[in-house]
Amino acid sequence: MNGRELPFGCSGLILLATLFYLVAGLAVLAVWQFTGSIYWLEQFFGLPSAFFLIWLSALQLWFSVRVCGEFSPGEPMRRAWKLISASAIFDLAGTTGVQLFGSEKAWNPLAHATWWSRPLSKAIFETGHVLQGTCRFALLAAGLWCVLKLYRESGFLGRFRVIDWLLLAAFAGYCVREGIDLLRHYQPSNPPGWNVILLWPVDPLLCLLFAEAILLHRSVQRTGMGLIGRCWRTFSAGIFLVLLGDAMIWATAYGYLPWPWSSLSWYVWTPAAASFALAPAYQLEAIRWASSGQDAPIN
Amino acid sequence: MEFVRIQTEPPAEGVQASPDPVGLSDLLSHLRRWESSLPAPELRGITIRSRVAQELGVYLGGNAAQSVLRPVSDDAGNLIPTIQPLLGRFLGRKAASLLSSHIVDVAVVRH
Repeated sequence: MNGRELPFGCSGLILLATLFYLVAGLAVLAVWQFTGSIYWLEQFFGLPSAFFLIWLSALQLWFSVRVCGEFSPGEPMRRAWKLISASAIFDLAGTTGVQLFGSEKAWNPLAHATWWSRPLSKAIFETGHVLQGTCRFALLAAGLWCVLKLYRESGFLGRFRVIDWLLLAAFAGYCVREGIDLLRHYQPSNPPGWNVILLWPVDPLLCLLFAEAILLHRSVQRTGMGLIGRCWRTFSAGIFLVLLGDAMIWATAYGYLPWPWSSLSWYVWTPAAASFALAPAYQLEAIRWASSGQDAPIN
Repeated sequence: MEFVRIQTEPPAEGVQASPDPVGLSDLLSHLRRWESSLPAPELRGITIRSRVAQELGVYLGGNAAQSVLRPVSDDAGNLIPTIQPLLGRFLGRKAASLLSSHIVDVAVVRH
């Protein structure tokens, strides 16, 4: 065992916890549909949801930093994992800001301080969105770019298919449409605030991440599923889920997704966060299995 | 000088034992039987490549493993230089070195 405990069960624990959370969430949704009372749904998406998302972000950071430590200085994959770890730092800071310190609920420890104010809470909330949006996605896109370069150098890089080009074109069209809407909405008499401007790169970054996720998915399809590919395919799944959540928010805002169906978008963020925690856990497991001198679990 | 001395020195009595013709032919026939029981080098290469592909496929995926092993020679002499740098890219040098040794042990040495 090389003197170290092998965290072989980590990914299983994350999967199990996410599954339990989703089943509980669907049960609460059923209670709402049957009783008509939204109380339990609000409770479920309050404290438990906030802490679960923070826990997943913390796991993502912890696993990413540990994976980074498995690569020696100068190794190309170390640079990729450094960027992914930095992205995880922003995600954890942003999630904590949005879910905990920017919240006006009683569980926010800062809300009990004498100097606490509503504008401060709003500023933390908005800063959190910038951190877990623009900052996190920019670093994640850079990290995945390094990974794709490695896939290309190894001769394993996949190719876009027609359906991929169509989906990318659709998402690029969505970004352009949103840009036009923003130009129409903000006039010199109604200038956007810094919190709005700093969030503008999110959708173009998501478009880039979408392209990277598709390429990673196609590359893993090309190589066949292995312990290494499992990590990158899970990153792709996380990005697809974030895009789905983003599209659902847009559809709700434009009236394409009426209530109560729009509530389904609340369930997307947890599996997305779980995917980002699982991906580095899978990579760490692959490295530990390789170093263990044992036969790997799938054969 | 020592070399010249050895060359000129007469051989000591009893040092040059006469070969045992029966034992020698026995040994040679055993060697020939052992050699004929081995599969042809190209067949051995296919078996080794297949075992390595199975081990490597667990990490890289089946298709990638097959394509990586194409340039590996029948005697697997260039196996480690072929797989280790590639595994190192994705798993790190240390893990790749340990995994390469494990694969050689499982797929080449033990069979």
